[in-house]
Amino acid sequence: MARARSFTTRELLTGHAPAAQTPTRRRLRVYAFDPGLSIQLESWRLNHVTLSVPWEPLGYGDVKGPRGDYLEIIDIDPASDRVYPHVNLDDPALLATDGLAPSEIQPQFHQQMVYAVAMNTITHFERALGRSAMWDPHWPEAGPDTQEPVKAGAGGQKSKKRPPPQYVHRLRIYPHAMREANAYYSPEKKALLFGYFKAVDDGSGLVMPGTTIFTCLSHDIIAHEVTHALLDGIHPYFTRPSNPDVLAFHEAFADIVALFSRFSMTEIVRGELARARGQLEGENMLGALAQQVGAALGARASLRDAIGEVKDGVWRRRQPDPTRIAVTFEPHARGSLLVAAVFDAFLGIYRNRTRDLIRIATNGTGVLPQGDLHPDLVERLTREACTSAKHLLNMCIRALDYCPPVDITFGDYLRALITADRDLVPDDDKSYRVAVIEGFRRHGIYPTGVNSMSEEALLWEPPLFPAKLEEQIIGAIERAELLERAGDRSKGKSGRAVDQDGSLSTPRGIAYQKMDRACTIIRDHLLRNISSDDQELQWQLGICVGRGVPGSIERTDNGLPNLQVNRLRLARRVGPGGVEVTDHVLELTQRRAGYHDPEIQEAVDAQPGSARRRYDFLVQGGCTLNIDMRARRIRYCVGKYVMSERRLQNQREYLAQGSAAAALYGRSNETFAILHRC
Amino acid sequence: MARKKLDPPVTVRMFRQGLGDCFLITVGDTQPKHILIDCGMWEATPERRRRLEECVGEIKRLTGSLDLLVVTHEHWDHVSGFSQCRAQFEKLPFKRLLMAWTEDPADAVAGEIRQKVAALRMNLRDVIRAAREARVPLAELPDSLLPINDLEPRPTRVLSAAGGLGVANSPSDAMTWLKTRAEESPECEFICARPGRVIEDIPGIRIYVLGPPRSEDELRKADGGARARRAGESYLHMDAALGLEEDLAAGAAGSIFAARGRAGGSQVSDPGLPFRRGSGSSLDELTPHDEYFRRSYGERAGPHRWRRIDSDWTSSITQLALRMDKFTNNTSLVLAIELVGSGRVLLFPGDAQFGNWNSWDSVKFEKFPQVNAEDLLRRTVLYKVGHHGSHNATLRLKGLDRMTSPDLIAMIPVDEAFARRQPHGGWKMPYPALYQDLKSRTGGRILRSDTGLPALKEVTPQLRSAFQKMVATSPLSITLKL
Repeated sequence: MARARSFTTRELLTGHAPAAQTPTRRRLRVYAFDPGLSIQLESWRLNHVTLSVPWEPLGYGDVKGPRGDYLEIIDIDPASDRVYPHVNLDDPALLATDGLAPSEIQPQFHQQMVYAVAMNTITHFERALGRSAMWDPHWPEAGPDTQEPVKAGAGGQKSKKRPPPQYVHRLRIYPHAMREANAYYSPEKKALLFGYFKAVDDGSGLVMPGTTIFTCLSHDIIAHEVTHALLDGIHPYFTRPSNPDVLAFHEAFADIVALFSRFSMTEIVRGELARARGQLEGENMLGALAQQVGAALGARASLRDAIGEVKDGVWRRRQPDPTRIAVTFEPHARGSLLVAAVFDAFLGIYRNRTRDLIRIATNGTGVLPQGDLHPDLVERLTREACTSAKHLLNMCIRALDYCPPVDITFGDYLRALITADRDLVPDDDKSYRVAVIEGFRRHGIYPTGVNSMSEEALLWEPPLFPAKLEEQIIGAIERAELLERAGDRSKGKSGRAVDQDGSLSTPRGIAYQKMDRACTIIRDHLLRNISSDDQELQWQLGICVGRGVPGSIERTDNGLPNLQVNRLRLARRVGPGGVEVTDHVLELTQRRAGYHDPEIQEAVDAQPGSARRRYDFLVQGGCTLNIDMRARRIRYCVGKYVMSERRLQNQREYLAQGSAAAALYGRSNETFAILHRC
Repeated sequence: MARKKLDPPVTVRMFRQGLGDCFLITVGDTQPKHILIDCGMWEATPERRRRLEECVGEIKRLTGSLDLLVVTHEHWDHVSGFSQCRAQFEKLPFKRLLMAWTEDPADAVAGEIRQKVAALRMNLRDVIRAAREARVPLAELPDSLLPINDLEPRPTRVLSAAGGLGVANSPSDAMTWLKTRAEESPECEFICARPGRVIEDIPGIRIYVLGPPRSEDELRKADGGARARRAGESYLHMDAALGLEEDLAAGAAGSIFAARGRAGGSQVSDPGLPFRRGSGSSLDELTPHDEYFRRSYGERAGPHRWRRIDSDWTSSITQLALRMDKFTNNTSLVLAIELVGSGRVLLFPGDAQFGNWNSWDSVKFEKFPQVNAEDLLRRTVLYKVGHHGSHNATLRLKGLDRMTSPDLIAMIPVDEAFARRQPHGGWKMPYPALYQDLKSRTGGRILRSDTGLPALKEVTPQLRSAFQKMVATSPLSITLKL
């Protein structure tokens, strides 16, 4: 981001006209919801907003087009054999008018809208995490672990060297990729594909039958899909379902970000609060997702609604039901329970924060007078709603650094939320954490392995590592950083990153390279030095190290148990005394061959080298380490033990359910393409 | 097992022609009655065809004539024999032909479904042809998979859903041939069975028809996924009972139209164009001012080719084809054959999937009010595993969990090696998790057409030898005496 230049005294005194400043923000008009609301009397006024996204140069130098540092929008429509001219957002006419006016019939506006909303979502992420967003790298042959057989056992045949992952600098967006009521993030192509389709006639009159509905004009759908991509960049293994929660979490998280990011558009929150007289619990546009697409598919309602549901044409507030989680498995439906839990928490926080305002406004009666609320009150309520939403969204995003690297459950996420927030705000005076715990509790989402739902019980515990191991891990990171500083790049330069268009020399590209090199160094170091037969320790780390590991664990060519180090991140938090501290977040993972037949599993485990036959599924384990380098201390170790019998059994059962998502496992990398088909 | 004496001797023969169903049930010894359920396979190699011919020859030799011919549903792996071995079947008379109610020419609901399916099939068939001509690759379907000529359709799911490419050699053609034969011969009866029907005229057994489901309600519900979505049930209707998803069909129709337009090189009448005519340019006629596009996607995009989306839009066609495939599976005729003396049941569900299984609970048998699906499953001693043991054609909760008989035996007509060779990681048949479950429920007594008699390591020698006495294997078939 370019900074505004300050002028020297001399420049000011000599009266030279200062050169034009580089702008810091680019303002672009978009639909606040989707084009459907622009033709309804009560909402059209609210439906146009202007987003302000960070300024960046666009295009390839002189060749102008919607391609920035994070995104490139390519408007090809192969189904219609068309390429639409690309919008030049640097055109002075557009700069002066905040971009094109919202329009359904102009493909250039579609490009502008996906660019603006996607950039806005990325900004939310960066603000919460305090670091640049990165996309998952491209694995030329397959995903990080798809079909390829685990080379289990030392006797296994030599594996072909896999091509290194390629750095992906920009996420691609295809606004008109297909003719289908579908939009998805493709982990294979690192791209978002949006479809368009003709509305179905359902007799509700909400949409004209036969209208072309563009999924790329729905604010929610864009935010949802970008979040999938951002989440995949942080946790690449969350697209591999190993229990019913994994894909549901992906969906829920994308919905949560889409829901709360609309609270950054103050004007629509103000409008809705004025209309709903300060209440957020009734049917309102803030809690419903993808209204036009839902209506066009004949649902007479939005695609998803965080607070209520439409039954027999009537909207009703959904009552939390703690038993539903046990019987709901379809990823969107299950995910919607997590969304509802978080949204309930938000409503609780909002109620808490506005109780005093309502008391003041009602002279303590709590009963608001008939008619419209006073604009000042609406203004104050809006501020509270937006602030709570912003905080909660930050909390939700920040918790990602506290999640296990594989096999996430909703319960894990709750613990991550609480721990992450406690790290940043030790004193919960606004009772956010209590609200979150209550939201989860009311929807029956409980973590395993804790004694109670109290805040203390939910915090991740510090690990009990021997000092030697702690030193080994911290030493590996230090070594990586030392080499980096000394400019010695020979070590990690195993050619993992391939520069294709100079993007590796941009700040994000350099950061990626640094991380990549550090990961290689750390992995080498750990492979050589960590060895322990201590069961308790292995359980904590989630991976098997040392000699005599079971035969199903993947091994290196030297016969050592293999492990992956794919991510090293920095997480900021406020230390005691208000000092900002940067933690290192390191992820270790390990793979294991899984079999449906317990006997085969046992036989393979008992004998290294017997795992040559195809495995039935892949089991992953590992841990996320949260390391305070200054204090040389590992603060948390969130592990999933690769050899856990319980997890293995759970995964077997999950796969045996024959659910749609499970059936896809290991078959297709386009998980979302099929999952999203609505 | 003393109970056996209550029944006439019953044998079930599973033929080993390849990946496909062909079962011969013989009841009684002095005047045996013969029931043939399906006859087909996926493979089309010459040696496999010879094998199938041998199987049909064996059927002819064993029976002379059939008392009942059952065709469960219109899929190549269940009916190819009636096409490929037509000459042999012409010499094999049958007294009665039993099909599902969806084949009933006089049934209005069936007619409606048939029309819908026929229209979609036409579309699919056109698209496959057009795609081949225009060299538009169908997503997830390598070109090599498309048939070389219409006369010898190779097994692809898209093709199967399209009902084959040519008029000859399609599954529906095989079905029509049988129907015509039944209607033309005076001593032959054609039965289209609705759930709830019981066929009693073979001594010693009763045949209960459990599926495919038929209720106006279910059909209406299938009338677009919207209603279920409104009720918040799910977003994904992979398994709706008789669910021909109209929204998906509508989506795919756009793509189908586009594919056809692309093939014909004409855009003029495409109603699905998203913008006004004249907006944008064709991919072939890019003008120099599209430098942005050329760099990011076109010829100058070099290393980024893997990110192109040239054929992703066709995936909705593949999806529709898959959905139709499942739909046809769901129209499977489901038979529970009860051995009246002992009350034991043989379950032949065809390739019924979720919706079909799920509907059995509501089936009532007027003459036998005490009989219901739960009870029939409880008494099941032979389960013909649906859809060659795939992951989605055996229900757990309302299916396997109810088959609690200690004598349960499973038969899987499958060719695992062939299924594995299919593209995109192969078809998982039998699905490992299901296979494991079956193994534990049957005590390992699973008969597979590809591997034959199981080793049965886990059970006691007595049980093993008892089971081995019931089974006889030959290269052509596996025979189970009950």
